[in-house]
Amino acid sequence: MFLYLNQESVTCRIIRGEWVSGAFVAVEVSHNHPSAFSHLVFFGPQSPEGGTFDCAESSNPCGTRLSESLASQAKQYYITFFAERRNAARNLPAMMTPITSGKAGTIHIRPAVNSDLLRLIALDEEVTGLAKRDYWKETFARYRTRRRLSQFFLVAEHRGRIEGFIIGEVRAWEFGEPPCGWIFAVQVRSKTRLKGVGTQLFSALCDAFRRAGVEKVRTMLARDNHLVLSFFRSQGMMAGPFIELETTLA
Amino acid sequence: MKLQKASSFALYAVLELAGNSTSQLSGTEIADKYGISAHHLAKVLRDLGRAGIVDAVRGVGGGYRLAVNAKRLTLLDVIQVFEPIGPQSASKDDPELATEAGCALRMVLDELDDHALATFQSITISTMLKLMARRPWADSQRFAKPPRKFASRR
Repeated sequence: MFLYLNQESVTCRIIRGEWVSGAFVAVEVSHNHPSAFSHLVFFGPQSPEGGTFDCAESSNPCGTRLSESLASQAKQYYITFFAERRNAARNLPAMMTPITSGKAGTIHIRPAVNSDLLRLIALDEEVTGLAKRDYWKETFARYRTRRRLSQFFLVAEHRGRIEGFIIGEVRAWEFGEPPCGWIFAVQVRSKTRLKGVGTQLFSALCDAFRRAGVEKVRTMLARDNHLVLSFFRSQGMMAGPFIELETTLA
Repeated sequence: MKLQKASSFALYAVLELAGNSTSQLSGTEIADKYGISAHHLAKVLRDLGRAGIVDAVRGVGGGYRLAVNAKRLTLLDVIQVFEPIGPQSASKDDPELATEAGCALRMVLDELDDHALATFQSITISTMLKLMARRPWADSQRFAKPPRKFASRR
């Protein structure tokens, strides 16, 4: 997806790509005259949503130096681009409007942001008894920086405290199936359960899936995970057309 | 898959009681709605009472009411009062396990039983009431007859 913004004599556009270490988003910036060289300015993994730019690198095939002016224009364009996307996402009522639950008070369902990571790690450790810091750092990085329109990491917040979260994404043509939403994780703090928080998270994620254009949501879980199995059943989910098979590798 | 009659009758009764939580229902009323033997249902309701799932309300206008939280009571809780669900352990002397075909078939049947157990264990009576309200079978050819309405008790 490319956007062009002319600021004075400068043209900027967003470049998205993939390399071994993951996806990147960069700004290609150049002065508007025929002999001008363009620069590709990369911004660090820190999200521009309220975060800081930890690094900015530029590459240019001729090795010319990126001027401060161009760097500034590129950075401003980058901030503007993502701010507009973020504001557009905030206008989606199902995800950003505070939802009042009679039992749990006002629960605010919103996309996870950088500053949530440590609290999410703590919540997961409190519920599961297992500290999975590396797993959550990796998951957070994956869901926070790539393919925002099809990946969703939502948290339920009450009075500044995260009470639960849900993670899902749209997967297409895997196992021969057309695009559908998949829920990969859901968790609610033990003391906050049975107050509708999980239902609100599930509902918000399904709304996000609908906006993404899919009509089906699926999940998979262990047969003996009675609690979560009962939760998904209570949300109207029934057994789907798949059977999970496995064997032990000798 | 088919359940034993007693299990089905028990589930009908429990669902009716859960759906009419503000009043009690008699066994006759439930039997009439489902076209089942009132005598057989009475025995089922007695067993449900012994299991602590329903309470009998005596006296004029008496009947039965649900004794437990419908959000906690699962289909398995009700069915297991009348029949075993899930893989049944075979004794070592079972001739079925003396052959390779018998052991392989037992593995496959255990797989089905595991699924049945997980399914019944994961669906509460409250979830069943939501399913009944949604009526996803309405467009299915498999369920041709419309469900009968239950007359409200005054």
